[in-house]
Amino acid sequence: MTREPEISISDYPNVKERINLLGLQMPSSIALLPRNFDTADSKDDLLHEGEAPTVRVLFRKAQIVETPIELPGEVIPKIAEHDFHDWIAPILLYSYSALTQNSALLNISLGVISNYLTDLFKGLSSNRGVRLDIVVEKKNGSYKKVHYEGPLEGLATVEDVVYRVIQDE
Amino acid sequence: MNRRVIKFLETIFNPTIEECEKYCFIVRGIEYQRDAVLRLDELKGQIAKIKSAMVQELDEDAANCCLSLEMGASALQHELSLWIAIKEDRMDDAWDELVSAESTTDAAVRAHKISDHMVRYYYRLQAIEKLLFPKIIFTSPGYTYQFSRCTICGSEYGSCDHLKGLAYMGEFCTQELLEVSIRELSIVDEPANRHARITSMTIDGVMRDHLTWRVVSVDPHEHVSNLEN
Repeated sequence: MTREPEISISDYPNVKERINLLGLQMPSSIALLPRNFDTADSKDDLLHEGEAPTVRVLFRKAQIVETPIELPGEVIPKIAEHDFHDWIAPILLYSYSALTQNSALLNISLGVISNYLTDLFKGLSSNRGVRLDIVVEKKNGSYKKVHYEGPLEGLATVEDVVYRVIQDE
Repeated sequence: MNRRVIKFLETIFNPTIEECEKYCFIVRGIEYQRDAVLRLDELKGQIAKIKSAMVQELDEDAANCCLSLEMGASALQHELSLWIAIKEDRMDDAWDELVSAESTTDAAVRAHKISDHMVRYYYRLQAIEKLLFPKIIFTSPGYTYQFSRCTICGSEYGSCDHLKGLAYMGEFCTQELLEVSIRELSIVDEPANRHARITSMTIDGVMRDHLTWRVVSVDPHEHVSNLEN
């Protein structure tokens, strides 16, 4: 049975305010956000998705510059959960300027993740899906989260949704 | 593709696999199946030698091809062991052999395109699973970890260029977790590790093995106490 992709859009707390509150490093354009970035009471409670290091490798190899929000020398623990059939990406944060100054950036980001997962899912895990959240800064400075859940082939559709979201009033 | 690997494929690997595949049916004589398991052990030994040579020659494609062949031979071994285990009434082992057959088939396909055809074999294993086993209730632990190590180069995973699940010079990259804390244990439908499952359950005061339905204990507390001892 073919799985249908699901995309949803929701409000997201002001990232800059949360960064200041939690005592983290302000990202310049792109960052990976911990799973509970929007709700954690303190920096010590933060948890990255287990695949955060993998995405860091993918972005680095593609020369996508990502700024860690953790201060130098600090480590945010990662979650290793194996009760999801889907591959769960860390939350990807993009500033408005990053997306508008480099129109290929999101396409390349999603592309390198897709290429890796194509190799990882080769053949047998083809019924595995992807869960991916992208937090974007809108033109008016507010933030939205675009959630994708579904087959790998549907991931490319997220790009259009993100660009519509950042331009919406 | 490396000529030595091609020659090995044509003259030794393919004929051996073809011969052993003949015994991958429950009705085949157990003695033939045991013998086929041993033949596949020998085959894997031969593959390991060639892989080592390919690594020495820095031929990554050939080394990954050998890894794929190793996994393919292992998958067949696990299926043969599944049938043997069923005939010997070792049903827990039978389940584990099936899961291992599925995961090594997956690994074979991931390692190199030489095993692309094994997708069909995976569907066969899935059919075997549906026919032979009841619905399995899986468990899945959740952990947090501080650091992890790349098994290819030993660096902090994420600091090197290796990606877990992919093959490098005949070995899969995996992420070894360090400084681990357990968060939870969940009951799930589709875990990553299908070896972890509920093995027995209490129904009407009687604890039964989930696969065989045999009574494990009429006093569940006795069973737990025995496990602790």
